[in-house]
Amino acid sequence: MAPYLSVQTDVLIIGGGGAGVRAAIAADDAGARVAMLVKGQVAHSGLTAMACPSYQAAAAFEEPEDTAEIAFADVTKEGRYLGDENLIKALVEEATARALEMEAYGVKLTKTAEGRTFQVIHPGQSFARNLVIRGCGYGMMFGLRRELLRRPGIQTFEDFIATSLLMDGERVAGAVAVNLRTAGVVVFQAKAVVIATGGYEELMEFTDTEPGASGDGTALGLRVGASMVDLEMMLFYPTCLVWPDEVKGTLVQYEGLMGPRYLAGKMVNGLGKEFLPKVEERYALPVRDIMMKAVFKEIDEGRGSPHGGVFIDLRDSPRSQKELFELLHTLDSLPYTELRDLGVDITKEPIEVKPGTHYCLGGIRINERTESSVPGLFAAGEVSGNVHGANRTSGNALAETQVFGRRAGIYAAEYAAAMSQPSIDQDAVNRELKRLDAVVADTPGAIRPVELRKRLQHTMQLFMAHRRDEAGMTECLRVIQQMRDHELPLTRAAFKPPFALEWQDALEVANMLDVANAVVQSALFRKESRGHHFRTDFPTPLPEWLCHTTLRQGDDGNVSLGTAPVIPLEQRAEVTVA
Amino acid sequence: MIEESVTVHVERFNPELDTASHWQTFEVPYTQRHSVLTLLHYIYEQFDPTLGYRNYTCGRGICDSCRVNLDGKVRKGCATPIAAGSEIRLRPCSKAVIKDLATVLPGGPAEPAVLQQWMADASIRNRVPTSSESGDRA
Repeated sequence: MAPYLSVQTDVLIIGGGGAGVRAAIAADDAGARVAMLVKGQVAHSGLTAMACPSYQAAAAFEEPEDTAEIAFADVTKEGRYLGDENLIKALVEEATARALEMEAYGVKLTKTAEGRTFQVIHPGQSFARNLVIRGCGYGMMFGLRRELLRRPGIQTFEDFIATSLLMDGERVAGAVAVNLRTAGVVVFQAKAVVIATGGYEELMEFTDTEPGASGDGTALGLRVGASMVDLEMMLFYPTCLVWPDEVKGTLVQYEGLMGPRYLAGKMVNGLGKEFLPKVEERYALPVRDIMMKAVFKEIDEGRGSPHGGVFIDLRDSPRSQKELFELLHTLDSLPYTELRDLGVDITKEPIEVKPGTHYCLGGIRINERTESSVPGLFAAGEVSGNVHGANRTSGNALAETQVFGRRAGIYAAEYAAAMSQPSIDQDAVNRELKRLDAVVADTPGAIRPVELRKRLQHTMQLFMAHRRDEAGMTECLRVIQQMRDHELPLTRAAFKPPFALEWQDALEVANMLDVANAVVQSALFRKESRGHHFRTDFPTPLPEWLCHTTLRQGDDGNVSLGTAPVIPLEQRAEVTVA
Repeated sequence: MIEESVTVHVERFNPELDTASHWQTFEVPYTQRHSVLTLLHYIYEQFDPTLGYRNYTCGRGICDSCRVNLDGKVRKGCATPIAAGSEIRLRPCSKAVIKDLATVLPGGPAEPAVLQQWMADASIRNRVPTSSESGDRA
């Protein structure tokens, strides 16, 4: 008997956050057999469940002048013109319909006293465009899970990590996955595979995301030679808590806390001085790429707060105490009660924040059908790379999960219906079983996965944060390659089934090293500054770099780099290998 | 200056190996402010890589993945501060224990039938590595 379970399906979805669950629903609607892998449990793990409450949709509920065309103009501009316009068009045109579907599934959207769906304006938006989801990302996943439970045809494998993709010639054929509850291996044979695993924020030390964001799907794509795009673009959210320690890294929404229409707080440095640059009046506050640089400048130049951030201060807000509480409740800008229980009451004292890695703009290159460059391999949500560009406005990550999750489910099901079942490469399965065994041993001198992971994060934070240059990135790459070539092979997990976190750590750090190598190589390649990629040796955007960085990892683990034009509106996307 | 610490008693149970749970005690130095979750991170990273718990966190007290029984009451691990010098007892939040403090949180999709059927065959339920150098470090 084989030492693993074999499962056949039409569409295999890797990732069970917003994009994964939406893809599962769409593929189920299309009549496909669907299996979905979730690294934790649906609604209790993943990037969507940990997100803040903003979902961008030009629905014009709040301000009737808003349109998808205006949203398109805003998103392309704030993305520093690096987002593919066919994808942005899909995003802005379909976000509203997807939001209303979510509401029908059971997701609760905040309403006004009159019962109208409430929208808030965030920087970079010409009109109030963000829906406010009750219960933040968790509330969204809770509602999506209700719809998932209504569909018994979808097989959901919780606490499963996909460790490699299987190929049948040029075409994807499924995946090997491990059950974290029992350490049992499952080999999935699938006609189409959708990657919806989110980003790789875990490469950095200071993030507002959860530890699962280790770039697993990005690594899976890299290892089968899928074309990647703009991997160097890692987005900093300007305001994440640096204090108290218990909730360090938690995002607080400056848009609500400081927006003049809302809590109207101010931001000051450690000397009590306001420092943010003036922006267009309708925006009121800087967008993320501008704001994060302004905040980092204060901290870097010694004008930070006691815990190494800057302050958001509500004490001089024109709002009354009652209004502040009402707004905090409505907007869910920060976890007020939890913070108060930790001894910090934002209505009475300033909070300390600094920029943290929040979202990966780059990733697997897709077209409007969410197809990657590998036949049968689709990608949706944060793991895809060419939707937003070099900066992303608030609320478009959750919208992206629904718009492109649904598209992935539809087109993967369509592809699966037209294809025969691929063959499983037994040699590849055996090699993967061997690799999974090899990471587990109590060898003298073995490196602990968590130790390697922390050193990688420290190195990336040192050289790859908001100030990059040739010398620093070259050193960073040297360290990564040393870890990847010489230390990873010595890394072992002490294994004790079930629920062996350290085994998971070992698999994740292998993924993280592949992704880190690709990110740094992409960043070295792009010799300009744009959006969240800021190089002190090339400090301005350059017209010749108004193009995508593309990257492909070869069978030997080395990468090849190139450029590709940004797709203008109405042109058919042709995904080509870098 | 005497270094302050938190005494953490954790109920350990591995359903694959143990017939009954047992308590294990860790002294975590108070080098930073701690929540239940940061204490568990510290124990996993510094003392015992076999500790089972869910390490996800929203940091906002809503996602519920760090739910744990603290001194008899179910709490959210990320939003519950633990003061220096405290002595606490941690148990899983429900009977659906996968290992130690890691449980199957209720309300989610059922395990697929094909998986249940396969796992019912106890002889292949746990694919313990056969490598001769494998072993128990703890």
